[in-house]
Amino acid sequence: MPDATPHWSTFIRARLRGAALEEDVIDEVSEHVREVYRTSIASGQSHQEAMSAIEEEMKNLPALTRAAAATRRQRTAARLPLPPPAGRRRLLAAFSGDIVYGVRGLASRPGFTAVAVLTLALGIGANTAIFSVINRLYLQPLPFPEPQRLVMTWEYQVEEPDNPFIVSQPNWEDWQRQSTSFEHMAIWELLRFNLAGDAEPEQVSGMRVSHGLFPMLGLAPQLGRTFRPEEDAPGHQVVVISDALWRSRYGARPDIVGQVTRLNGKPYEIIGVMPPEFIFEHRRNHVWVPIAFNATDADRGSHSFRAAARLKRGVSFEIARAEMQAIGSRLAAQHEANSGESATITRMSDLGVAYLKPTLYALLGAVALVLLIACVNVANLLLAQSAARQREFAIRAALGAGRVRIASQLLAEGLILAIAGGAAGLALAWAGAAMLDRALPPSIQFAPYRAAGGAPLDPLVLTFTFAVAALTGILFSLAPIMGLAGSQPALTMRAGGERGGTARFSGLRGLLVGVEVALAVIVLAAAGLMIKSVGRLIAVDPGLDTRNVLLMDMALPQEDFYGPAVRTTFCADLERELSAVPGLVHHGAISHLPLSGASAGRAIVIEGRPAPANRADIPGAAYRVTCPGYFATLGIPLVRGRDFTQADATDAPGVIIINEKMAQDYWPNTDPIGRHIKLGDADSPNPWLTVVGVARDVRHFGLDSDVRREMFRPYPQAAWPQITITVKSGVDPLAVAGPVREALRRIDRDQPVTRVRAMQEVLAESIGSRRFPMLLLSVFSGVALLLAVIGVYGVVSYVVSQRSREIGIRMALGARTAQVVKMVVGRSVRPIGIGLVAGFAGALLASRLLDTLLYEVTPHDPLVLSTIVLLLGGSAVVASFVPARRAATVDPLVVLKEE
Amino acid sequence: MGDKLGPDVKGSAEILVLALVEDRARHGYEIGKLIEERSGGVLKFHIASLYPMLYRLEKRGHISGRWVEKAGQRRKRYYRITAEGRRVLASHRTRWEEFIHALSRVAGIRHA
Repeated sequence: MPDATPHWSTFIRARLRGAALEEDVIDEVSEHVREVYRTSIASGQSHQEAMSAIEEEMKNLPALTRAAAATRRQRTAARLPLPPPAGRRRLLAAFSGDIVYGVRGLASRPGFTAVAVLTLALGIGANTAIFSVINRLYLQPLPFPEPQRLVMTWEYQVEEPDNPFIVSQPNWEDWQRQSTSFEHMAIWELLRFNLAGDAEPEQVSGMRVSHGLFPMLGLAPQLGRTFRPEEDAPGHQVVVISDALWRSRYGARPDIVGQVTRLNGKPYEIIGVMPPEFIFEHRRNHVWVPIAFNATDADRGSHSFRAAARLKRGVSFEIARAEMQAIGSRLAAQHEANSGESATITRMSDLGVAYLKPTLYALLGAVALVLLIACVNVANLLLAQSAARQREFAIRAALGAGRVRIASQLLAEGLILAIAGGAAGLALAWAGAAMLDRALPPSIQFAPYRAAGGAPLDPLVLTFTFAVAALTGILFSLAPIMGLAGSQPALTMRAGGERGGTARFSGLRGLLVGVEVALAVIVLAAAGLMIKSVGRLIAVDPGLDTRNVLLMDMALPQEDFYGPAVRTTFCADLERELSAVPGLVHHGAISHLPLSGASAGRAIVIEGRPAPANRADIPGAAYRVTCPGYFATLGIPLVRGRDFTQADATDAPGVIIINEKMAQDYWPNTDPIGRHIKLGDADSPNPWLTVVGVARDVRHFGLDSDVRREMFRPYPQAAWPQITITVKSGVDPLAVAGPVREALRRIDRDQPVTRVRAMQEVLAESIGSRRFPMLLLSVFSGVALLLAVIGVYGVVSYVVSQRSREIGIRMALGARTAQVVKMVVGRSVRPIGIGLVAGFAGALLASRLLDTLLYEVTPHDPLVLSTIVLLLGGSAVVASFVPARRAATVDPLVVLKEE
Repeated sequence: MGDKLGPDVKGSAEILVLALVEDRARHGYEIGKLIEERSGGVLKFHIASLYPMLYRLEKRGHISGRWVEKAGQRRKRYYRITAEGRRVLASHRTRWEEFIHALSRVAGIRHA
């Protein structure tokens, strides 16, 4: 029957007998006539009867042309752009007309517009968020004048040029004397201070610095002054504080300069307040005191200090580095302590952030792929739209609009969508910035010299977002424009424009499905590899038991780190007070907590062994100081010998505990218990220490690091200015935090307890630099999977709706539901399959970029890759099964009647 | 339109249209069909009378038309009442009620 129906708009034009009528009116009347015909047929009338009903409706039709012309009704969404004026202005005017037309068109399709904008907002927002982190770490200049001239100065082992280390005072002083490349040089050491006397005691991070630091950085204090050259010498108790501390602790009082506060129990005069933009080294550092070199510092082998310099104007980085290397080589030849070493510089802007570059760029790559998937989805939506709008395009083409004009119209719509998506994405990124900042590891949150993250709105981020949005808009507009290129206006008009599914069109759709699946495979593979990698890492035995272990940091003022303990009774006090706290199973204390990143090292002399000829062969181990009970608290068994006791006091014979690795390295076939070692070199006046225990190895430097030699000394015999109290409870460790804190306060009212945390947190934080990309990649891959499934579902639904008549006929001719489902799903399997293969190949290439981020997982892990392919392939097939099933279960009569 | 009733009713047909699009947007065919159905076939509009009336109402700002298209479907023009249209409809209703009330008192014509 449908074959007998005339093409209604042609039919109506014929009845107008050449009278002019706007296309919109013809459209509207055609719809009316179509409805009349449809309801007549539906009510059981014959074609002839329906046609005569239409004849009745169309009585006096030419009167409509007069009435329509007279009313010249205002149309909004359907107004065609004005005919273009001449020349270049013509193009511009035409495009701005397209924009206006596009805005109206999109406003008239709110559902489509909302879905497209939201999809884009997700993709663009994720890109903006990651870019804003990259911007903060790598693109923004440091907050100092001419920051490109600031460099870090380091020593390094010639065999390990990529692993520079901190400098000793004598070497730095030689650099300063011998170098000519630098305008200023400065040296500093990070410390923690107990701040007391003028208000509640609190612990603050800070550093001792040489006077040249402030002129080198080029920032003046907002109040008072900084250090004078003579204040580098010991005995000057003056302090410069941060703007944040001045505000929080001193209420920004203007007369702060000249006030006296107490640092580590000694009076210090506040001489200056730095401006808010002064962040050195990171935003948790608040006090700066003079360097005041001491006797320990004077050891050329004692590498304790960070150092930096400002290049003279006109001196290049390379020239300065070459000069430093020459000086370093000279010093290595002159001083035995420097053998095998040299000196170098790195950009100050790289400090603490350079190593994260591959991670962040991998994340940016992943979000770029997610955005591409979002693009494909929007392209699909636009394709479906433009198929439905073929008639509109055909009419415009018939009225003389070239393909270029219509393409420009499509592009305008795409750009409007993209810009709206970009703005929404920016809002999303802005809203999520604080959340993202918390998800980042402390190394990024407190990156050196950088202010807090979490505010993505700076010009560069804005530019990036809108550039990405514009690019996105052009990209997804290509799909309907390509679809347009294959369409034939005349054919479309004749076909009524409702079945836009030409061969080229479905080919394009298949391509989009394939691309979408391929991109999703890559993102999911990256996430899968990271998840497996972190899983492997978590499975590594750290060598200790983190359960129910609570930690509290405490400072124990100590001028000379390695000198005799000032507070000789600390361990005994701890024992006395903590024994009284109910619910504790074990307690102890350690100077350098495993997995926290803290460490110190000392060279040793083994009794009865000659000093090695080669400096690299000098024995040594990581150095820790503990109170009795530490090993039991962390569940580290002593495989030989004993733990320290309160009897290992200051005046008792010197004792030491070593780890298994140290025992194996230095006493491979003998029992180390009872052997003697001495810290320092052969001439050192240090006492001989007896090995009394061997502790099991702990992965102190991280789950992904090798075990190194470690040695432990009892606090009363060794001391350390910073100690972590460790307690193990039978219950939730945070529940005993209050009583433990009270107990510690009884030991010393002036020593604040800081950073109360569970050992579990330390473990979690230690894998943070691997965990955060895994978390973010997991989120991104979830979005990618969702978008891909929605995309496949959308395309198949659309294709099914376009072919509903064919399916209806097939079913009327006896096709069974299963056959129809198989046919529909079968046609989408091909592009999905091609997408999976392409994605697999892409994942093999892309995952190589992840190599450095992975732990004991190869980038080509077959299990991960095949799981991803199965997961995505399965989801895509299910996504196409749903509309196929729906199409196959409708009543064929209903489908056919819809014609 | 107006074929079966006197010309004085002709302008009042616009009230019927306003009333029909008062609660929801409708397309032209639906409006014509509903007027016919609800008047029991007494009022019948042809294309040549229905659409000029709609365009007139739209030009006056009593209704507004909007093309609506869904993916895979033809676009249709839906009309909905405007704030101005509502005001006009309300005042028409009052006037008609007064008029019918008057008729019923004077000529014994019952309000339907």
